[in-house]
Amino acid sequence: MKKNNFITGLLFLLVGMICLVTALLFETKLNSLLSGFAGAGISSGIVMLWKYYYWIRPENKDKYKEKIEKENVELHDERKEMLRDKSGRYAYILGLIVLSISIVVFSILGSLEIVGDTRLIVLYLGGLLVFQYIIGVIIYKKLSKKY
Amino acid sequence: MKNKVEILRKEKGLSQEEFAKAIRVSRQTVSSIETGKYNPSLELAFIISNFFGKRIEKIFIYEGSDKYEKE
Repeated sequence: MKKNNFITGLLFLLVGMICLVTALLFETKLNSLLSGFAGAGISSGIVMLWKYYYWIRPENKDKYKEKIEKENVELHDERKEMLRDKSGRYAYILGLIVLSISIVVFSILGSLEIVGDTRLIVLYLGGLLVFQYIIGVIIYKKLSKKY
Repeated sequence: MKNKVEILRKEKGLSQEEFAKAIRVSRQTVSSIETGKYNPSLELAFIISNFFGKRIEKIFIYEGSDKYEKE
């Protein structure tokens, strides 16, 4: 296993600990966020370090080689790549539909005064919808030039 | 598109897993190709034909070819 994994694990652990210490020592409005980062950083760091030490053991060397080989095949398997691309496309279309419906729903809720001020939410969702659509067109055109 | 991958693989006495390992794809991909659910890319079709030492058109049979030839 590459030494990079060890360094990444150590960095996660350190960042997590820094967040934990900051959250414990200082009373700020970001305490809940810092606690979240601390939990995520420390647990991810520990898992990464444990994996690193597990796979560098001499008795696991062959097993690790086999695992990496299998992962490489799975990652570059053309059928799986096609399925990933297709599912991404469906998720993109569904995302656009959900955003459009959400804009209508929040507009109605705002108009009927069921939810307080929804203008900011509607504006944000509208912006996100336009962004998703435009970025989709731009990426398509870029890819079209490339291939 | 039809193909003879399953027949040729069995002739060689290979399991789907062994064949998949040899051509560096997943076992599910081999299964999908054999059942005709998935048509491989040209590159993978060549890899498969090289593996069996046969010409590509002997393994993969394009059923729509007549229509385009007439046009």
